[in-house]
Amino acid sequence: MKKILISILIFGLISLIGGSGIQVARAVGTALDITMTAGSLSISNSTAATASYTGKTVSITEQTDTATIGDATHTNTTGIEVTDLRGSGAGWSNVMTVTHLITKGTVKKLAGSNSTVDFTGTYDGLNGVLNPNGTFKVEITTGGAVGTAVFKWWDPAGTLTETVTTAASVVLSNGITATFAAATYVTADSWSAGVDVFPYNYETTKGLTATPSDIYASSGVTTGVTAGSAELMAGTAATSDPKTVMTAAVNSGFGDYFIDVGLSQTIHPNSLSESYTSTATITVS
Amino acid sequence: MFSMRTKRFIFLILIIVILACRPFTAQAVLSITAPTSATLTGKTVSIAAQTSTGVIGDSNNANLVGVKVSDDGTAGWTAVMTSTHFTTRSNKTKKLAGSNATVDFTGTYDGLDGVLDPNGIFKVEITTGGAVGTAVFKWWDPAGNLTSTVTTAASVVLSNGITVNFAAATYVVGDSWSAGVDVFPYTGLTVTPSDIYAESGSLTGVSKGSSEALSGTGATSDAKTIMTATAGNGIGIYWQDEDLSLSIHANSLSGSFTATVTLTVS
Repeated sequence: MKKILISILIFGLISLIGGSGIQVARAVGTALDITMTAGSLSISNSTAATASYTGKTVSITEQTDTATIGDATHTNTTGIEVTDLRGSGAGWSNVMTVTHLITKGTVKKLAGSNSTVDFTGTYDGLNGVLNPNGTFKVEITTGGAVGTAVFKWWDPAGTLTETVTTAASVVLSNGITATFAAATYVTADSWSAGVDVFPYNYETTKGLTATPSDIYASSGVTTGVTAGSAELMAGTAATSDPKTVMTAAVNSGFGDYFIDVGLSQTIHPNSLSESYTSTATITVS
Repeated sequence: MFSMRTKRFIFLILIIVILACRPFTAQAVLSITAPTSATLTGKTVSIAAQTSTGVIGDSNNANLVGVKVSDDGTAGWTAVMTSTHFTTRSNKTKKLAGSNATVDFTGTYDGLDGVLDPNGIFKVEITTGGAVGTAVFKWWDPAGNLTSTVTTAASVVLSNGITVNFAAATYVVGDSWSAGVDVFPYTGLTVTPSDIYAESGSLTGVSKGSSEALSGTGATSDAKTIMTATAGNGIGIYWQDEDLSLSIHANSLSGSFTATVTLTVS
């Protein structure tokens, strides 16, 4: 009987509480998610596709010419642009290489009457600074039409190559090709083309000094992002060793970064008076 | 113990009480259900801020999909929601120095350090070498706060929901690891409750909450009203979708960001 009474009592109290309108909060959970897809690490030179040195007059003394990849304002969106949209914090390294500043003069007819020989291609500058300036020289050793006539040629260092049969196009060396248009070539006919170079590195201390500017972050912050040092480009090949322009340490470099690179080039005395060109290749990885 | 007379009196009182109240099975039932998950539109990491949208429910505001409140009482009710921050923790621990790839970070970041630029990291560095249990380390939270002289263990709680785990290895002074974390705070989450659909019952006295960004300063937002029923109303079954619009800061981490919304009715 007691148990029945106690049960009825409990049941009654519960009913009383329920009937009095006391309510308990009810809650449910919903999981939300959004996926951020990694973009890419990229580099652009759209605002600095070309850079021109100020230009100099040929001189009997050594000179220095300057240029900037980008501009003189280091807080704008002109210059080399590195964009990291990977969202990984992996960090990155931006480097540049350059070729020698080189030129090739117009062809000179040294002997004979045919103006049917030309020199084409881009000189690689690997013969270095020569005094007097180097030339590619071709001389007919056996007369005849193209394909029959034979010639010998010298590279800028004076190295002789003999007994080469003429053709419409004959590769010489260092990026230069001799072209023979249709004509009757005569023994001793001769032509030359001057070449010259402002190397990116020569005589230990001369050449191209690249000076990365301060870095401008158009998006993100420069914490952990550093400019490379001002230094002479190094190397012995047609293309220099890579030189660091800017780097982002691990867990840094999220965003969009601009940098200008100041250039200072040694101009040797008594150069050819031509337009000199080189190519800077700028990469990020 | 009790006399028969007393027993009869108690029994009578209880019968009266039971009859005076509604039967237990017929008491007011107030409940809420919601979809278990909702996905906001994915984005690609960008150098500019973006906005992502999603919905708890669907775009049809007159169907039986979404947040559901059921009530058969007359007291009225209020449905609210809270949300945690959208957070992520890089699942790739970076080895900054040393040779051991035996350290990992686990747990769900609470996002309380806010949006950082560059993105925040938890960083651990060994200061005394040795095996786990002997080696000592220091660590930094995303805000750059340093904690020194912590003894390694299989699992060591750092802060903000993150734990560092040291697997068996011989640790060397200078060894260092990090894990990136990032957050899209709920203060950038605008919730727009849709029109309410009454599966049963009347919409009289039942109203939706306003469109507004969540507020608060804790790991979980303040409660935001999504719909209410005034006293004497809201008797029935009501459905609502919650449109979401989330601000995505520039230069975020890539990966999956997650948050938990809690919907409550009372």
